[in-house]
Parts: sequence; C-alpha cells; structure tokens
Amino acid sequence: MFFWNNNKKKQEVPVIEKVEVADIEKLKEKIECLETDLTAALGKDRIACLNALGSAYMEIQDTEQAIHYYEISLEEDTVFGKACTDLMSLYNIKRREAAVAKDDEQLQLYLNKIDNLMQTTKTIMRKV
Amino acid sequence: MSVINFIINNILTQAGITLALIALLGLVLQRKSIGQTIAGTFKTLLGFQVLSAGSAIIVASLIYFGKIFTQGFHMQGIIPSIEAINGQAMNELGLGSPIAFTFLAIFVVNIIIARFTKWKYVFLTGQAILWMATMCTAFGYFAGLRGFMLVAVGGVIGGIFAVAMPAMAQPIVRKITGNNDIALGHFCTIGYLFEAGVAKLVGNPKQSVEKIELPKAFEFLQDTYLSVMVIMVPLYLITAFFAGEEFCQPIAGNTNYLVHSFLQAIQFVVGVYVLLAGVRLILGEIVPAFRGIAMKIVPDAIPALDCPVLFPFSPNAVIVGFVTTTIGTVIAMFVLPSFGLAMILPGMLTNFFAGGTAGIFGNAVGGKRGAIIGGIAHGFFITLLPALLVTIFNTLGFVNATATDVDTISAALLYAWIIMPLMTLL
Repeated sequence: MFFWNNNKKKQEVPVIEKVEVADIEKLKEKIECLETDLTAALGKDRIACLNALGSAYMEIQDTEQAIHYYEISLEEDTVFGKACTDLMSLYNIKRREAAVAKDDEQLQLYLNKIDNLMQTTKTIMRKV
Repeated sequence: MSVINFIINNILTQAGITLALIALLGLVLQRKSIGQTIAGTFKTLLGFQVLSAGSAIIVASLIYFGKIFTQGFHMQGIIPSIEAINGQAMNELGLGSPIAFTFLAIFVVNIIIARFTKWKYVFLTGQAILWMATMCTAFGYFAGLRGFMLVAVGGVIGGIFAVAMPAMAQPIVRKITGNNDIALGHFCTIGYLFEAGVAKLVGNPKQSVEKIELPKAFEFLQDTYLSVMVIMVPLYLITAFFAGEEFCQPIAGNTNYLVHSFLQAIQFVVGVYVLLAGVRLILGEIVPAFRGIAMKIVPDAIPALDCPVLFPFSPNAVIVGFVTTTIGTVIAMFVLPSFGLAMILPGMLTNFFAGGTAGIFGNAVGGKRGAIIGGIAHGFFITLLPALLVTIFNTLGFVNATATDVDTISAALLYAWIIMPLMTLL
C-alpha cells in the first residue's frame, strides 16, 4: 500500500555491491602491494596509499579495515575527499549492523563517530 | 490525590526538572549505571539553568537594541535568532515544560512513522528538534491549545516534519551523495527545495561550481561566536549612531554611548554562547539516549543528519551559497519594509549553514548559474518567511527576535493560518 510498510522481511543490513571472486583475489593482491608501499611512502603519496587501501578494503567488504585506513588518512590530512565521504557510508553500515545485533555499545560508538565526522566537516569547511 | 497535584503543579511545570526527568528516562531505558544516570540527570538540569542565564543576557541586549533601532530608523528591527526565541520561550514565557514534552513527543512520533511506514527517516539533529518543539509549542499556545493537546498536536506536527522533510529532500540528496545511506536532518529543507526549484528553471547542472577556483576569505567563520560578533558589533554601533547621543547617553549612564553600544553587542554574543552551552548540556544526555533507542527500534533507518554531512560533496557550492544567500537577505532587509513588514537583519550563521547547504542543492540541480541565482532567491525567501511571523511573535511577548529555520516557521504558519482559524470555529 502507499503508506504502510507491507514488507515483513527480516531486517537486513545493506551491503556494499557484491564483488566477483576473481576480482576479490585481484583486490587482495592490490592490497598487499599497497601495504608494502605504505611502509615507505611519505607526504601526499602516503595519503594516496591510505585512501587506496581504504577503498580496496571497502570493495572487498572488509569495513573495519577500510575504516581503519580512512581514519588514519583523515587524521593525517584533514581535508574533504574520499576518506570523508566513504567514512560516512562505512560508519552507517557498522551502525546498522550494531542496531540489528542490538549491540548498544557499538551502536553508540558509531553514532559518536558520525558526530565527530560531522564536526570535522564543519571545521574543514570553515578553513576552506 | 494531593501528591499527584503537587507533582503536576510544582514539579512537572518546572522545565528544568521535566527535562531532567526525560534524560533520566532515557538513561534508565539504556540501562546505564546508577552513577551515570544520576550524573546525566543532574547535568541536564544544570543545562537548563545555564540556558536560562543565557536567555536573560540575550533579552537584556535585545531590549536595548529594540529601543535604539526604533529611535534611529523609526521601525522595528528584528534579529533572526532561533536561540533567542528558544531561550525566551523556555524561560521568560514559561513554556519550558511543554517544550520539553513536545521534544520527546516529536521523537516518539518520528520513531512510530519510521517503524510502521515506508519512510524510514529518523531525525538525529537534536538541536533542530528542540527548535521545532519550541515553535510548535509557542504557536500552539498562541492558537489556544493547552496541556496534553498542546504537546500532542506539537508532537504529531513536529514528528511529521521530522520524516517529511528528509523524505522530500532525499531525491536531491541521493544525487549529491551518490547513495541512499544518509538523509538530511536540517529544518531548512523547504528553503533548499525552493532554491532547487529556482535552479532547475535557470541553471545547467552540467556546469558545476566545483570546477572553478574560489578565493579563500572566510577565516572569520572559523569560530561561531566570532561570526556572530562580526555582524552584531557594526549593527549595534551603526544603530546607536543613528539613534543619536541624546537618546542613547541616558541609557549608557557614565559610559560613552558608542562604547556602551559596543558592549551591548558583545553581551548578545555572550548570551548566545551561554545559551548554546546550556543547550549542549541538555541535549548531551537526552539525544544519545533516545537516538540509541530509535536506531534499535528502526534498525533499517536512514539517519537524517545535520547539514555539514553534505559539505564534503560540494565545498565550493557551500561558499557560493553562503555569499549569494547573504546578498538575498540584504536585499530583503531593505525591500520588505516597503511592504509594511519588519526589517529583518541578516543572520550570519543561518546564511552560512542554511545558505551553504542551499547552494549545494542549487548546484546539484542547476550548476553554478543555479547556485548563484537560486542563492539570491533563497536569501530573499528565508527573510520573507520570518517577517510574516513578527506580529505574532510580538503578541506572544518575544523581544525583537524572530526564528530562522524555514521549516519551523512553516510549522508555525500552519498553526497561525490553519489550526488557529479551526480552533476559532470550534
């Protein structure tokens, strides 16, 4: 019906678009190379490496590792970019997982992370 | 029976205590420890006292400003400040308790709508809900509603806005963010859609404003209170100058009248600082408690977040939106009095946050031409709507201020133009 939610399916956590197995293997190889490069990278190269790792982990649906690398990138280079926008999506995914699992602690953790990200966004905007 | 009467007449009428009890409820439902529950409850009570103190400082400054503006320009000068409206409503007008209950009711109605309908938006911007609760309560009171009906009607109207506004903005938000993960929880959405409408008519979405280089000139916006001061100090000084030494000096006493005016401007900024500190203390306990509950009841909720969530996607559009909205508000400031409306002075924070976000909408739909022309139109629009409410604000007892967020103003106009006539017929 127009108004009521007739969908009585069990609540599902939306996932990032599924990736083919062959692509996952290629991405894992790419991740290995990037992690090696990261140990020696400095400055803008390091940030690019961190963002590439975040993006790659996001593609293979390893949200925790994706968050880990994007958070480091944003901490070292607090500017608008992929880290900022992808982190919002990733935090939402983790928030929904926590809500479905009824895990209060994780739920509050990711709601607070969303708050902090918004505060960072305001700070970046004022410095633009 | 006498105990119940005592509770109703002496405890639940005290806004600070009502808010503290709401925080207590949220903390207990979250199964916090006794220590955390007591601390959170008392922090909320403290927050209300801080808010009241801030409101008193703002009102004193606004009374002075009202006198010198009327003397200098022979009309009423209105400062757009939802914080001043909230402070006055909760404190001076004694509507604190109904506002607190309406705040809770809006949350509850939002959760119910999100849980049982296809519109899964949960509004998480606590401050915005507080402003909506303020406007619904103040105008519901003006329409003649009292007690349970005042809270219930405010809760339903506010709750519907809390779902409808994110839902209406979502097609454009999806275009901006490229996904459906987040929604916009900022009660200026009607203004954003207005700008998008203008941008659609005049613009070209292929010529995005993000492709151009903009100058960096907004360091003064790095601090909220500096931003307010940049507007208030010249405003008060110019107004005092036009009001004249003869009028202003007796008010200033032994201090030079211009120095006194300068200090009154700073007083306004201090009042806003103190009031917002109180709001943060109040919401700091209530919002985490209830949004946690909301997210568990509606796990597939799309969180409606504050406007900075869109800034990373289109930072140039924020700057263009801010500048063009400011131009629009200045034009409206001079044009509207010629139609018999009050002079609404520009509000820099609204122009930055609401104007900036509107710029993102304008750019998404109409490119740089849409963002520029739409922004000027948006500035005029967000000045016109508050101007329509000034007479009612004066009648209610508010001092020389008006609201800023257009969705809250639209809710107020709903009360003034529809609910009040219906109440008169009944």
